[in-house]
Amino acid sequence: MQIPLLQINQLQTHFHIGKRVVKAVDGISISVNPGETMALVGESGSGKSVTAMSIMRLLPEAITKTQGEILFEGRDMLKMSMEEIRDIRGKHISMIFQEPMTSLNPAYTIGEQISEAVRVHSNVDKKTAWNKAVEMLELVGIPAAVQRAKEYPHQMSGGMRQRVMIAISLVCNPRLLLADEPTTALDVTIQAQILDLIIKLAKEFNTALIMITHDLGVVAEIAQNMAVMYAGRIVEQGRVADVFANPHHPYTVGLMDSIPRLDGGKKQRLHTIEGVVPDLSALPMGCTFADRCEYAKEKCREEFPAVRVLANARQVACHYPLGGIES
Amino acid sequence: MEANIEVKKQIKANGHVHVDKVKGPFAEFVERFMKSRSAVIGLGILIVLICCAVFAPILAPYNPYESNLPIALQAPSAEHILGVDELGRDIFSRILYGAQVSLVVGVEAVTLALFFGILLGALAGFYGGKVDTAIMGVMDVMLSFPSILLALAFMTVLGRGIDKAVIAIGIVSIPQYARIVRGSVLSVKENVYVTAARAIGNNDRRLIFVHILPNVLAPIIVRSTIGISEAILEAAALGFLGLGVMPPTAEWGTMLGAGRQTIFNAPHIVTFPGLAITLTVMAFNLLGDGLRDVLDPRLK
Repeated sequence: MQIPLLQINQLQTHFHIGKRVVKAVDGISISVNPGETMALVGESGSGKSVTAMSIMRLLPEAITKTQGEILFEGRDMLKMSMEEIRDIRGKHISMIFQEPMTSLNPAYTIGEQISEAVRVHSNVDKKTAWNKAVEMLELVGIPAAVQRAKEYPHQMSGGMRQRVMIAISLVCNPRLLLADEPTTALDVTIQAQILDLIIKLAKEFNTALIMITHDLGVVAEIAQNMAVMYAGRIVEQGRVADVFANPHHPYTVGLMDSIPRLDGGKKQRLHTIEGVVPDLSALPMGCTFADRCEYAKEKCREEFPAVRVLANARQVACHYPLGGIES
Repeated sequence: MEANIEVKKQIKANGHVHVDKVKGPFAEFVERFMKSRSAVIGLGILIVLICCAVFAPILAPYNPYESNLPIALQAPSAEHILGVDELGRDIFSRILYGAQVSLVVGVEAVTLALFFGILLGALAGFYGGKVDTAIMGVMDVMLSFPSILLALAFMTVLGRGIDKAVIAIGIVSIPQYARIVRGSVLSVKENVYVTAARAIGNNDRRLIFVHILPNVLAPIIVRSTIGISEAILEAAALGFLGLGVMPPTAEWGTMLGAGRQTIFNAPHIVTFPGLAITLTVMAFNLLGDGLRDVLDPRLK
């Protein structure tokens, strides 16, 4: 058994907005081993991004209340001082954002922005950092890197900018990379390229990856483990192969049915999950998915289902899991 | 879009010009600037004024401090193209020397106000909460007085003189810059690139000064250009009230004040310094308006 690189235990991230308490993340536990890829899946508002921001401690402290443990290499990041956190950010854990169009500073050349990431964490001179930046640009597949390093973000396309973001995030050779829907804002044709690039470089740099996505196709392709989030909780997690072969939670099943399949019947229509994610500041007392679940029974509305741990580190939070459980 | 201008401002601030194969941001800024009529006119007048101030010792036909009582109050003539004042000093020469005082007072006062305004505004906008309430509370109190009244109050405490006038006018205009900077910082800090900069391990100081401030330069530049004209006007008002620059020094406001007793029999004594003030203020306002057009991303 490996010691996990990142272990999150019962993480709760609640936002206190006026008198309302928004439970964006409500007691999740995941662990990521060095060099592994974990996919965090769920629809908008399920708490995927907030989880990533909680790990990086990037949420506004004044309104955020975080509980639980985020153990990075055994040390609890929630108990660290801001100085220790800054030392980890970018150097040991870095992040790629969803919006490549706005995640680069318009006032600096991309070369300057990559070198900055180097210079924040090590005492190298400008020249060395710049050379490192150019080297990274070549690595992420930007042609004529020497010239392009001198360009500003507005002179580049979305795909190019996301490549630059990848260069920034990997330039310090971090042990963990958080990718928050890195391909959502890109053209479909570019998405695969960027995804391949992230996977390839993560492997090359031996970086563990938490890929946040709502695209199950992506998950199947790249991840070893997956966690399905719904309304701030993890409803199902396990090895990707296991979950895909035999999903237990009705929500996971719903997600899988809502993507087109090549082997499906001719006239098979895509499945949709009726309804929306519940209001996170007024969660129902029972299962949060009960209102949208076609299998929901009385018990589901009254009692919150505890997480059941199954074989192969498989977990599911459902009173009436599907697909037969051998526990 | 916005990127473009910020980039240009940044380049200006850094003093290095990025040469691009296609068209550098700085070249684009110059091109847009040249298309703005008011900016070009404003800058043109300003260059003339600055030349007058710098080369006053060469350009001035007479010593601005040498009085010649026999010809006092004489109207404009071939020898004294703008006439002479109540002590027989050449008004044209005094206006040239006065340009030095006015421009220096304007620029220095705005620099002082900018320094504290940017610092306070950035802190208030970046940290929000109690810091914001405290800083902006003080700023609002200062804004609730007419600025000339507040400047007068400072002058009575500090005493007379150019330096004191600069300090008084500078302090009085801090809130205006603090407000603009705070507002811009509030909107810029929400950008993903600020979060991204935080995510690579930057501390607050670098976030504010390296990542946020270069992106709020456009409104600050526009405001300070117009601010210089306001500072010049305020300095002139203080001079007129006899609280600004000490009398023998050639200063436009003081000249106006001295000439007001003889306004009916020698109107030229107040007319020309008045025109000089108007022209200068107009030049800065034109430049400021033009810059606003040039720097406004929505007009691109």
